[in-house]
Order: sequence, then C-alpha cells, then structure tokens
Amino acid sequence: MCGTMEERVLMERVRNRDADALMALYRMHGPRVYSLSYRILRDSRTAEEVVQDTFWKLWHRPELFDPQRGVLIAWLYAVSRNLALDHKRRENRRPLESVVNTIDGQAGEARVPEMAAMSDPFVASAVREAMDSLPSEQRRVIELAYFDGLTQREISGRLGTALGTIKTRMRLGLSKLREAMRNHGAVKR
Amino acid sequence: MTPNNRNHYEDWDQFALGALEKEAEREMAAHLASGCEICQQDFQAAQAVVAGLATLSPDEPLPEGAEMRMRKRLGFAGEGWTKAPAPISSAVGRKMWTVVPWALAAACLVAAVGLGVSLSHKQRELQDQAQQNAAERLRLQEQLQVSSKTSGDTRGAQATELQNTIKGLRQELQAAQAAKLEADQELKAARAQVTDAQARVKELDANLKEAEAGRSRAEEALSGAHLQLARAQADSSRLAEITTQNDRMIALLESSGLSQLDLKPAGSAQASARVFWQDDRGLLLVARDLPALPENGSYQLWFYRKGTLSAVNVGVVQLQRSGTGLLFVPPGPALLAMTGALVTKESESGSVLTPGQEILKVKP
Repeated sequence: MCGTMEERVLMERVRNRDADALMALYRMHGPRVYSLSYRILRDSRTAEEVVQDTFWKLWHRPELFDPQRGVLIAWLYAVSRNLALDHKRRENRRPLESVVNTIDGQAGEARVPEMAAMSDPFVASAVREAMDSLPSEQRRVIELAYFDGLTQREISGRLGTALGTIKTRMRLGLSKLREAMRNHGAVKR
Repeated sequence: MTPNNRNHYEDWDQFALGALEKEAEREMAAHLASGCEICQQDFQAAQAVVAGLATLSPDEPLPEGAEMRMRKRLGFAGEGWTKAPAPISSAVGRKMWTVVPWALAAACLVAAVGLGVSLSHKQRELQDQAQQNAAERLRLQEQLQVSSKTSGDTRGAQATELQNTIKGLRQELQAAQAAKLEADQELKAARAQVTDAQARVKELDANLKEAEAGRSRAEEALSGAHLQLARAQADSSRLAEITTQNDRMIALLESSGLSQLDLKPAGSAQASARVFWQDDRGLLLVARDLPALPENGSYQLWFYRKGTLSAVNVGVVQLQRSGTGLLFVPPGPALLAMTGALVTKESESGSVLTPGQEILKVKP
C-alpha cells in the first residue's frame, strides 16, 4: 500500500462518491498536475482543461488507480502527461502511441509507477540534481522525449544529430537518472 | 529493438518514456502482454524513473477560479456544493445537524420577542414562552457542546491514530533504510573481498606461469648437462682407449725383438709405410704421404695369411693431423698368421671383403 494515510482515506471516500474528498485531493495535487501540464502545453487554458480531465477520470473511474501499485500523484502525473501530449499531438494530427494507452487504458491499470517516495521532496530534489548533473545534450534529449513527447527519430530530426547518438545520449541519461533515484530509494531496480 | 540472449528486452526506460518508434513499441508491448515477469518488473521500474521527470516542472499556480470551474465540470456546483470548500481537516466528521439547533433557537427567540412587543395581552404567555425557548436554547447549547466535544474527541483520536501510523511508517522507513545501508556496506565489503581474491588469483597465476617457465628452463639445462656428461664420458672413454693403445704402441716400439717391414707404393703413389710387430705385443702401421681421399673415403689395412692369396681386412688406418696414418693391431691369431700387408684406398661404398685401390703393399 502506497501513499499517505490522509491520501488513502480520501481515495476511499472518493470511491464512496464523496465530492469533498475529491476536491481535497484536487487541492492537494492539482497545482503539481497543472505545473506538469503547463510545462508540456505552455498554455494555461489547455493545461487547466487537462487537470480537469485528469480529476474527472479519477472521479468517474477511481478503480483505474490501484493504491497497491503506487502513489496517487504518480498516477495523476502519468494520466495528465498523456492527456497533455494527446492535446499537443492532436494539434500535429498525430495519434497517441501504445505506451500512453498502456498506462492510461484498461490494460495499464496495474502499471501505475511504483514510486513509493514520489511525493518525497528529497526525491524531487534528487531528480533535479541528477538532471542538472547530466551533460546538457543528454538532458536535452530526455526533456524533448518527456515534455514534448518526441520519439528518438523525431529528436534526431529536430536536433540534426545522428539517431545512434540520440539513442546513446538517452540511454546514458536515463541510466544516471535511475541511479540517482535508486540511491534515494525512489526506485527499487 | 531485439531481446537479449535471455529473451528479455532492455530499453524499458525509453519505452516508458514513449521515445521508441512504433514498430519497436508494438513489439515490446506484445512481449509485455505475453506475461514476461522480468520485463514487466523492469517496465514498472522504468515507469517510476520516467514519472520522476514530472517533478522537474517548475511550480505554476493554478489560474484564479480554477477550483470553481473544476466543481462545475464535475457537476458539484449546482447540487448544494456552492459553499466554499472546507479544508480536509474540517471536512472530516462535520455534520449538518450541528448547525440546526442554533438556527432553531434563534428563530424561536426572534419569534418570542416579536410577539411580546406587538401583543401586550399575551405578554405573560410570551414571556413564559421566551423562558421556555431560553431553556431550550440552553439545552441545545449544552447538547451542541457535548456533541462538539464528542466530535472533537473523535477527530483528536483520528488525528492521534494518523500520527501514530505516520510515526510507525517513518520508523519502518528508517529501519529499512538502515538495513539497506548495512546491506550496501556488506555488499561493498564482499565486492572488495572478491576483488582482493581475484587479484591474489591473478598474482598466483603469474607466479605459477613464472615457475613453470623456470622449471622448463631448468629441465632444458638438465638435459643439456646430461648431454654434456654423455659426451664427456664418451670422450673420457675414447681418451682411455687412446691412452691404452698409445701405451701398447709404446710398449711394442720399445720391445727388443721388434720386427719391421717396409711397404712399397703400388702404381704411381708416392706414399711410404712401415709395419712394426712382435707376435705377443701386436703390430703398428705407420704410413706417410698418403694421397688425398675422396669424400667419406678411408685407408684400410689388410693382411695376407699363410696358404691364401686373398687379403683379410684388419682395420681402418687413423689419419693424424700431420697426415701420418697409424693403425695398431693387438696380438692375436690374425697377427700370427700374417705373411704380408696391404694398404688400400676405399671409397664410401667400399667393402671389407674385397680390397679397393692398392696404395702400399708388401707381400712375402
């Protein structure tokens, strides 16, 4: 079981159709979900819509979040990122890919990130430090993939760098990031 | 994107990030769906790593009125939810009935006062009513205090329980972190031991190789020494033989009853030779100015014996550095039967049965 006691109580109440509990969760996590959506979309109106869609999903489909699998904020991040990238890609007429569906859809119910310490400010700090310590080119490709939803090939095209180089940078960067998070107990493997 | 040699994929970080191309994603998603436990665990861990990236977003405040719009979107605004949202702590356990007695009491009081002013004839009655209302209000206040206290106690108990749970979880976390630290240290120590052992094995391997090389060199040296010893023994044996032969030759030449006979050159040869002998001491051939020998050729000494015309081979003439040829024949039946001598030049294919080219000869 992951998450704080307060969060668990609130989620139980949401399952019992307690609107106050949902709004409490909104006040607890809404700003962070909005920050991520805004970072992706750079548009406050659309970012707010994404936050609404995210919590709408939590209200109407609370069973999609399994507290055994991870903390709520990680689930909210995953769903809102997918929705935000969906908005972004829709503008470019590009459909969502399977990873998004895997996380967001029925098949992905059990695959909420397992970050037990996701809400720990030390972990967030560790992630920032790890990202800051990466060479700028490694950090850049990871940010383009995460916040812009670009594939390795698309990044290669945008930066005018060989695909193999992009793959290597991404692999190395993610590996260092994983190491930093593992050292803080944020991931197990 | 291909699986490794254990049929597992490795780029789950990139998969979770959504950075792979369609084909690779489909392939890996199908693999996940096939139920591979290891890959599913790797993917889950990768999702955690990717989820961590969300914390990189700079904090942005929600736009003004966002909560109200959220309520409208969820349909909360039109169903009696328009009141300002209560904080989570006050939302827990609060009930509407705690407000009703206050409203009821206030309404009664207002009604009583109004009636007293406008209808004097019912003043007494209203005063009684007001007193009753006041009593009721007091009772409701007491009830409210009791219920508030009860509610407060309940919230206090819940808060205490939550605090205790949080405390317990923190302690568990600390214990787990301490255990992890200890395990990490043990792992580090074990790795150091493995490294030391590997270095030691490497060193021993090097020593072993060096020792094997030394042994090989020693065996080679021993073999050489054996060979030298054998040669020395052979030389010693040969020298002993030569010494013995020299002694015999000296004894022969010093004997008083020594016979001698000159051999005459045969054909155009310019060589000369003489034999010295005594029946009981042997025979010595001394030859000079012998002609050149073909390659691998030799000079051979032959005896003529009584009653026969054919010669019998006696041995090979030993050529000295000076060019002089010597041959000592020990005493024996061959010497006793000798009537003449012949020196021949033999080629490599010469026979001991038939004499070759005659060089020197004496025939009785």
